[in-house]
Amino acid sequence: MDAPRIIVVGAGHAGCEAALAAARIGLRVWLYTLNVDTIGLMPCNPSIGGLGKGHLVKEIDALGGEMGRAADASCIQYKTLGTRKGPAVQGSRMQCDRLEYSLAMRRAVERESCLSVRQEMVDGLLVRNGRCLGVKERSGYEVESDAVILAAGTFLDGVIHVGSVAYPAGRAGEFPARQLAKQLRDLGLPTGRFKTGTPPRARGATVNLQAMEEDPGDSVVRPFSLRTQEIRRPVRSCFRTYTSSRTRELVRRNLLKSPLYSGEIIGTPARYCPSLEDKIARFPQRERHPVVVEPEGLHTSEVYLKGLGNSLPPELQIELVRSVPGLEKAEIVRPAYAIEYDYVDPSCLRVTLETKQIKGLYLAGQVNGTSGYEEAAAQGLWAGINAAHAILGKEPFILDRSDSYMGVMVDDLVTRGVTEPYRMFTSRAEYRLLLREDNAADRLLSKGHGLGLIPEEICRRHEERRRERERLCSELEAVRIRPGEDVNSMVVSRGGSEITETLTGTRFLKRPEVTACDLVSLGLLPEGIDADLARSIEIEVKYEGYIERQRREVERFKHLEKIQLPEDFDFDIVPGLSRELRDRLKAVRPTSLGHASRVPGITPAALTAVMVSLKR
Amino acid sequence: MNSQAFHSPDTIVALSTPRGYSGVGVIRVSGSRAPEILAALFKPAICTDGFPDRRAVYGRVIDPETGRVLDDGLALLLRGPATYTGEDVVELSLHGSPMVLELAVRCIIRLGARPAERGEFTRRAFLAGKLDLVQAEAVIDLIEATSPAAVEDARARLDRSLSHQVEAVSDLVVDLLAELEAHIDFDEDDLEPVTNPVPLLEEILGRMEALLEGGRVGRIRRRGVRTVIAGKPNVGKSTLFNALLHADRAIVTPIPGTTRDTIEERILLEGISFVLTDTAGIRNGPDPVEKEGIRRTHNALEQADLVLAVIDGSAAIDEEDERVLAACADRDVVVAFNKMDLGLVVDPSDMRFGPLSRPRASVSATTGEGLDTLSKIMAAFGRERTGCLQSDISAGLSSRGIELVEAAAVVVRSLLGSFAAEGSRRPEIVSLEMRRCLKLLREITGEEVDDKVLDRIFERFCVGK
Repeated sequence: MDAPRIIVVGAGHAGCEAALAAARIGLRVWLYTLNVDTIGLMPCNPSIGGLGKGHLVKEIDALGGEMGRAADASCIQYKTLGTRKGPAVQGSRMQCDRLEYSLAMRRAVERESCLSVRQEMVDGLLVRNGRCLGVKERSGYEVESDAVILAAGTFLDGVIHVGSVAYPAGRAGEFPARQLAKQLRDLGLPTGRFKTGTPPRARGATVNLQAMEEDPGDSVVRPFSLRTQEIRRPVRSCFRTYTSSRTRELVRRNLLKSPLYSGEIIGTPARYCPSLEDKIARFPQRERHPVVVEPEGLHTSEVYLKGLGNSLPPELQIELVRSVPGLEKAEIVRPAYAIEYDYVDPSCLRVTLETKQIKGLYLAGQVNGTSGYEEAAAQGLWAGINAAHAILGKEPFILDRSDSYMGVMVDDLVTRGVTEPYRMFTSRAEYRLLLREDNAADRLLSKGHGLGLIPEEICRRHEERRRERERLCSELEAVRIRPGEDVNSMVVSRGGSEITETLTGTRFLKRPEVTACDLVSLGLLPEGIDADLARSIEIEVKYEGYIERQRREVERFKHLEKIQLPEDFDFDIVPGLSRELRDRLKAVRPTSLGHASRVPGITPAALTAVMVSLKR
Repeated sequence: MNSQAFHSPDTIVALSTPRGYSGVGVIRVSGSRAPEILAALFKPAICTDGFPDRRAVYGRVIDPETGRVLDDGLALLLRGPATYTGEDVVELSLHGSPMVLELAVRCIIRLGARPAERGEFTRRAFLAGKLDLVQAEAVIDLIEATSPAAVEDARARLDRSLSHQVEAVSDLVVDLLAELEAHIDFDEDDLEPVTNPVPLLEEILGRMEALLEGGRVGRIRRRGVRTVIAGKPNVGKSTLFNALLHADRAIVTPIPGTTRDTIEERILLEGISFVLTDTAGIRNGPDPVEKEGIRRTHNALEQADLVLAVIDGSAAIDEEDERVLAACADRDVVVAFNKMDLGLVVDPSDMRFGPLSRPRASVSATTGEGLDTLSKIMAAFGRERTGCLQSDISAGLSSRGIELVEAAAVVVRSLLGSFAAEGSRRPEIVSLEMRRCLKLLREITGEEVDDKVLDRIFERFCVGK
């Protein structure tokens, strides 16, 4: 085992992407995990992607990350969410076989010759003169490196709660990292406590699926990864049911037995991911809440009971699960639990995810106060690339709010910090119509290629596709559609109004009732055109005016981003800033005027004051 | 010496009372160096240990270079942050001699202050978060108010009631956005079905229109009723202008086309302020100067709240009169039949002067006969225009505010239009438009948007797994 240039602590979604990226860039990486069998584990729901998250997976893939490929390799159901809404806000989600996902990730890690996996607990960081020089294993063995990427998930001083019982743990059945947590606090990094949790798992044979609505997913499976040609795998359904009035009664009566309500849990939970206790306590008027039974995989009958997350005592959990129609006889395999853990407020990070305080120390994933596999993986990739670039003396790799959800997320994290676990929402992206799943490759693939993480071949293929699309678009603009029997009977049958004058193909496709498929059947697009290609043409045409508008907004946005603030800019000389705002600006150290404009509490007037001082 | 919460490198000074001779003149100093400047300049009559906060001290202003006494008066030290600008503030009340005050200001500048820029005290108050933009504008309007109603409006805005009303509209927009975004960002199966946004959009538009109406009324209260005197040449417009002014302001000759440029003066009728504009007579003349004057007349007509259409009542109505009446067809008009002293020939009920509901008055600008009636008609119009407000909407959105609300209203109107045409709109598009509205509305008060929409979602919807 050669000495590492980069050490990655934790082999979850953030850790794996970080280690893979750095190793693929060519640096020797050691990847620490408490248990090699849990590499790439999905400790909560057995699915990848979803609204806002599917975007992240596609972006990770376009930059050469592994998540999309691992999901494709373990897919047991595919679904596009949000089909009643426009394409920009739809999200791909895959149910994945938990075990196979983990194995796919492990295979990817093991394939890299520069990447060594080490099963050992990291007890501390070697820090001298504001620099991180490596790690210390529990045994006392000190390993030096140029950079350390900490991706410790929920393990930092993790405490599991079930009913009135609380015990230290990193995840169910795993050791917590207590020394490391203490050291981070001692180093003066701003830490806080968050709470998350996971619902119970039940034995499949004891669940009555007949009583539930089946959701088989979409018939067409669309891979996440550009490097996956096709997915031919067995498919499993999800099943939907609802809590009953008895569930509601049960939770209400026993609310004080939940550590969330007895005052034992102090960590902040995420409002978008409430436990059943929260849902029932905060929305008493709501009679029922949805429960989805999701398959854990092909090799087990165990099912995941989405919607039943709670931290009630185990005996109550049995009663609670059995109050749900279809689960009357369910056996719980793994009880639900809540977990509290330390996070580090990410406003202490540079935009590269390196801590401002300790050079060479990078933080990625849940440790930064985020939640979700996809959010973690994206940060891992980001930190891995930047740690490697810093060592190699290359430019930092930074995406911004106008080119990616990743850019939105990192900017939010380092600029605003977190007050609750951070999740990606499409509404966080102000240029939402430009940042779509279907154009992730257009946005990022060449960057991924530039990083050396995307093979030439993939780029070339995409470039061909892009040219093909442009050609078809200009043909569509050139073709004329005349009012006629066949065209009008079609549009009228869809609820549109008749065409009375000659239109270009583009104008025709712009009509709400017309789809790209119709253009194929009218012979305006080639028979047998790739479905995704047709779709992306349709999207560009339908959103055209809005896309144009957002592009103009992006230009204005870039203008402020380009005005750099020197790292040593003195906010004390800016007149009229309140002390609170001044302190916050000094802590965030915005890199540009645009960045400063997003610091919480800054008003247009305060920004003008900064701008004036900058010009002096 | 710095105040605790705020910090400014520059200390500024200005004379706060008008230049000129007066009983008392007040000099104001604001900034971190204000207390030390006071200590260096002002010697209290009774020896005290420094200057107490918020208490007037009598003493003498001494030029620190020459040691000569400049004046005696009162000094008041107000320590920040609980001051108008949020900084330490000093006010000196001295004798109202322009020379004394000028010398005192020069001393203060020598001691390290710089002259304040126009509006800088208020700008600092805004920067320090003491005022929002609506309030900052209200301060200026309060100072410049020309009628009691305008004072009342500005005062109401200073008390933030207008800000609250704008925020109430933003709040509705946030409600709508929360509804849309909840359905965009969370699994649609887990939520109640989307509600139709049209009723909420209509309510938002209604409130915007009420704000705009209030803004228009406020502008009239603030600036007065813009009243334009129009008519063909030589019907006595300038004579009427002078008569209403009780002054010999505009040049009057028997030569048609004497008035070339528009002239403005302010008058008060029954407590209501009017900005009276005399204009060049409208006709097809060859003279380029006169043509330019007529172009200006048309501009003035476009801006007018009220038009006084002057007709020579001693002669029959002709084509030129009709052209004048056509030019102001869509405005509020009072028809004045002038030269009644020469005997009226025209029939005032002639429909060519407009519908009978349009007020008419017979006057003689030279004798003053009928002017009372005309004034009463104008005052009644002003009262009607400035009085009838929905009780819960305050007047006085600034012209900047009116522009912003108007732009937001355009967005809502076009959205409503597309709902009417297509039956539905994609939520991400409605959201895009409503975010634009929200940004415009928030610009009025200078507030930031941030996480308000997400917060609202979590308050209102049970979301998540």
